[in-house]
Amino acid sequence: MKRLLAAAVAASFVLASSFAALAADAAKVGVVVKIGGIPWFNAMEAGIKEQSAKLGLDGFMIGPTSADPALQVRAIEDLIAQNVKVIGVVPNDAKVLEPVLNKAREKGIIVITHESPSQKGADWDFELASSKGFGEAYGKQLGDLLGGKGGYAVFVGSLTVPLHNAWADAAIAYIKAHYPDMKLVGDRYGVAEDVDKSRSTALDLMAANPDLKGFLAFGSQGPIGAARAVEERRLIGKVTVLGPFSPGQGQKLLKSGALTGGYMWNPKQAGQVFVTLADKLIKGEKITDGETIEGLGVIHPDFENHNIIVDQLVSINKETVAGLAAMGL
Amino acid sequence: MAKFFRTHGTESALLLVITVISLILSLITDRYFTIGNAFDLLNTSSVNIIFAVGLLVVLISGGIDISFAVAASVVQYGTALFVGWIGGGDWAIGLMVAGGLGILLGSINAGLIQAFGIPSIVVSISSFNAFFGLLMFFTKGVSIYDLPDWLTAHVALYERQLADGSWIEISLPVLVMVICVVATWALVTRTTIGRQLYAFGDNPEGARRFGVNIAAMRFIAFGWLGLMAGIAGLVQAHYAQEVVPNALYGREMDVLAAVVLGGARLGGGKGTVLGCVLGVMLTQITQNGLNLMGVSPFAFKMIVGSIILVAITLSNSPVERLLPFLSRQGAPK
Amino acid sequence: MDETVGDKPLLSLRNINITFGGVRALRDVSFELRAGEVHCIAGENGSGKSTLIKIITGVYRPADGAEIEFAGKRYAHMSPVQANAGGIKVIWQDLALFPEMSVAENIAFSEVVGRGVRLVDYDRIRAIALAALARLGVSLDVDAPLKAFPIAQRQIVAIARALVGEARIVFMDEPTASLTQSETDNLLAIVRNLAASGVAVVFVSHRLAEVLDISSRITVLRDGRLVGVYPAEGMTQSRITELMTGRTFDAQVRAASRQDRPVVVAVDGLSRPSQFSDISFEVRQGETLGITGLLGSGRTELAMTLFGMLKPAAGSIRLDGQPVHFSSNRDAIDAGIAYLSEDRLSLGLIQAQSIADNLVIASLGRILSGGLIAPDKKAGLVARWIADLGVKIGKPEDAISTLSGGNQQRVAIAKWLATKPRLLILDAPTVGVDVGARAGIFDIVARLADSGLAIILISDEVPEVYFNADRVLHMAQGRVVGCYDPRAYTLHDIEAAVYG
Repeated sequence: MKRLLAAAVAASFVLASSFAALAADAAKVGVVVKIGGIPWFNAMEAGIKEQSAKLGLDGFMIGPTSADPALQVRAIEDLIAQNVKVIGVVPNDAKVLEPVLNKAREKGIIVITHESPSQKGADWDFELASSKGFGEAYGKQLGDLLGGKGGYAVFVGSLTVPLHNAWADAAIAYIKAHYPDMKLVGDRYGVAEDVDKSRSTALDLMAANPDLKGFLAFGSQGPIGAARAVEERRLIGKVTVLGPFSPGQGQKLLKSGALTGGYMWNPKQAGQVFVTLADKLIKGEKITDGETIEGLGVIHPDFENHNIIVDQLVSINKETVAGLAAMGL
Repeated sequence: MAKFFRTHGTESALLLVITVISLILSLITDRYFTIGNAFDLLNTSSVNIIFAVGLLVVLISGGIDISFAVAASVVQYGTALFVGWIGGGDWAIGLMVAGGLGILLGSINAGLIQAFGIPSIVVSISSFNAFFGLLMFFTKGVSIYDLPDWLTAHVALYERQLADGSWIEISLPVLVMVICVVATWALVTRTTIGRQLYAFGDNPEGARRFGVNIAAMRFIAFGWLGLMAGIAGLVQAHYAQEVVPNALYGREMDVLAAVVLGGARLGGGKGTVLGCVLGVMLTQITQNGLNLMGVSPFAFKMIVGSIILVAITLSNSPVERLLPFLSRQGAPK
Repeated sequence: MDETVGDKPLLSLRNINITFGGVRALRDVSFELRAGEVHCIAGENGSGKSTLIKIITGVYRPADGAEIEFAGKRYAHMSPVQANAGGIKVIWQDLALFPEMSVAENIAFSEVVGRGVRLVDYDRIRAIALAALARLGVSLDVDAPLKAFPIAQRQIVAIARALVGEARIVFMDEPTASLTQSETDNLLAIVRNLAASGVAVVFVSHRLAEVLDISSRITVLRDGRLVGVYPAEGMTQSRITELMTGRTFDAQVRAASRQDRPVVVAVDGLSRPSQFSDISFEVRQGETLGITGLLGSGRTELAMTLFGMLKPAAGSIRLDGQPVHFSSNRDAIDAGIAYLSEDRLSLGLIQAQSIADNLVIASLGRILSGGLIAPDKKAGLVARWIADLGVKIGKPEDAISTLSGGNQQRVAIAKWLATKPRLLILDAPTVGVDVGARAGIFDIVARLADSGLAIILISDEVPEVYFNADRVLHMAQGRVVGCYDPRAYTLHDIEAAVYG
């Protein structure tokens, strides 16, 4: 009896921590993002909710507890079991998700991905920034700010996140071509989804390389962590930190100058696009070259690789940050 | 000295590995063997060391806990909300609230283990999910950036500008860490409670026959870890200057690995504060060294794994065999 | 405590009855203890020894009507706290020590228990520990962790711990079970000192020789009843055995000459540095070779070498005339050698697993069907061996730990017989086994020998090899120092040589 009671308590304890999405009659659009609980995806969730309400869909977001592809696979399996109409994914690992996405499509579910160009198993992938355009914009800004001289280090979310690495590739290639006197320090570091690791890595790198003048941090926590390190070392104004980050989180750092700025696209807008595209595809509408889609503008899809790539960059700087932060980003 | 090596095999092995790594790093990087880097190591290890000494006490008592890192997140969040609600507060209030909440969460674990006789690993897996799930549910994953000034203001205990213009400093987390380490050391080696914890972890039935209060032992061990986790949570919020609900998620395994590396035994009765600190430092130094050396990050995990393997192998070998000059007599059979 | 020395008992119990689940574990038992005496409680497993001890120490509560008088006070029953406070100390068979802690802390552990949170006074703890050890006339490094010491020293630590505070009665439950002869002698000397200092010692042991040696009086229990209280003076082992079991056992020398039989195993010049050297002997079909000697004589290492677990540095092992080189004990098992280890509890049997699983573990190859275990073959093998060896069990699925020591030993033997060995090595097969069950085990050994098995019987109890082997090798410091035919020597001759 005691054992039974014990088991019951343990079970209910676990149950208390999970909660199921509410069922509704509207077509379900489930979006699995990299990780829950961070502002970026909170904003995306807001966009999903807003656009769903507008278009009369049941759109919701699932954020795994850590940036683990295995958790995404499980979440997608759950969505398949729930008979959703559309699955949206912001993948942690393009390869790992391939089989489960194929499985979803076999069941007639439409698959849309974001931040994962040419994703196998997806009907369409959309990007609010082309990886080349995005990376080059950063490369150019860093080169300008550093006057074409000095060392710089690159952080990515993880060594296996394709998009971050594509940005890094484009930025590094651009710098190499246009600012030959700048030197890349080390290889790229896969720390930019963890603020503590970004901070300690930036501290170590600044210590080891007095010549280090800039950080390019691709990954939501990377710019914050690197900026904290710059602040701690009292090198504000001497070391530049660029990268996409959440304006609300980085506002103070940006104002103090520890964080120089960056480009981003609006995750809320991305959330809206997920739902807009879902709605269009559920209705059976075709994607055509040159058409205008809300949130994407005029599109020129790559039909072979199922990519819709536009450049909807938003600059984050001292002037724009307050407005972006006010949007909850 | 020789006696220390004989009686502290694990600590000696860790010291040996740390010394060897440090020597190598001093030779191949200019930066490693500098006061500034030593300060960096201390500053960045503080939170993990506070977690580690708390976890050590639970391991000594024969328990295990994997919920402490998410418990610290709950504490961070709760404390931030509370001080916001009372309109600011200060360090004393913050520490009391964080410590109290931490002890409460630890006591929930101890209470479940004690009342139902569920193994601590099962309880802590459940509470890990429950704490984190409830936190995400109630916070909707929203971070808190607007923290009171006393919490986010940077406090340097010692700072100095070097000749080359760079700054070195020891920050507040190091002081908190030192206090936690000394307090834990005093608890486990200098108080009767500490010795009962060892005895209970070593031979629970023997301790029970001797009249050791088993329930008290569990509440003290898990309560202490809760207290440490609460403090660590507050300190992490201090230097991160924000409370992100999942910022500490996943930290438990790093800390557990470091504590076990430091010689604490899963199963109880064994482990020292020194070993535990050295365990954390070894993992931290390895990471630091790899960054300083400019090793490709693609090789990091492989190297960290190998070093842990070497350290564990060394610490499981009799010291007499590794350092034969120390042996006064044959090793006991 | 002077007033209690003499004829007035320190402790007396009368009308002790206790029932567990409808079974009368003790029936009208009485017991009496005087200060300064060593008193032995003898009885087979299940006779009620442990129950009686637990009543005296307050763990169990006897049925109404019990009269307990301790140090001049009367009790209907005693609580553990009362017993402990009154100086009744128990040294449990499992010792209840803390291996990771220092010897000093183990001895003076009562210093850190209770009375709120205090700072530990290590100087005081050391002083208490040293004083307790000094009282036993032993010196140990009290700062070293207990785990650094072998079982014999841990036993001493447990005794020293019992002496902390005012000890008036010390219970020792099978203190010598895992000690060798010399360690036992050492312990008995300590017990004598203890008694001489006025402490009453209650001694429980399966080893009747030491019971007779150490105790002044013996209380014998059988099936929960008191058989009687006897002075040790003038008592013999066979008389105690008879009282305990209600049966008579006549020890007879079983030795016979088997020179006409073929040699199964021949060992020539076998050596391992610092363990044993230049060992040569033969064992023939149907022959039982006894090997005896003190701890450190190399007997167990020799056995493990024959069994392939250690490699010889020099010398040869021949099986049926063919030289063999084992690279592991798997090879030895395949070649037909079985080894019943000294430490049955930790090495020989898997306590948490069932009787059936333990039986077949060494012979899994014989019950396979298409690479998987065939349940019918397994059941058949299990049933046959259980019947052959007369193991008393409930179901083959029961955990092995539910069996008595004697029956566990039978299962251990059966496990190895299931591998169809030609040479069976039995290392200390009667450790922790009742005297009645011992006879049963040796009957099995004799039957196995008659069926043609070659047997090596290792024991540090000379009578066991004397009565049950055809020849007895005496090992000391890694060498064979004597070879005896039991028909030509008296038990005393061999004992004098071994223990002398």
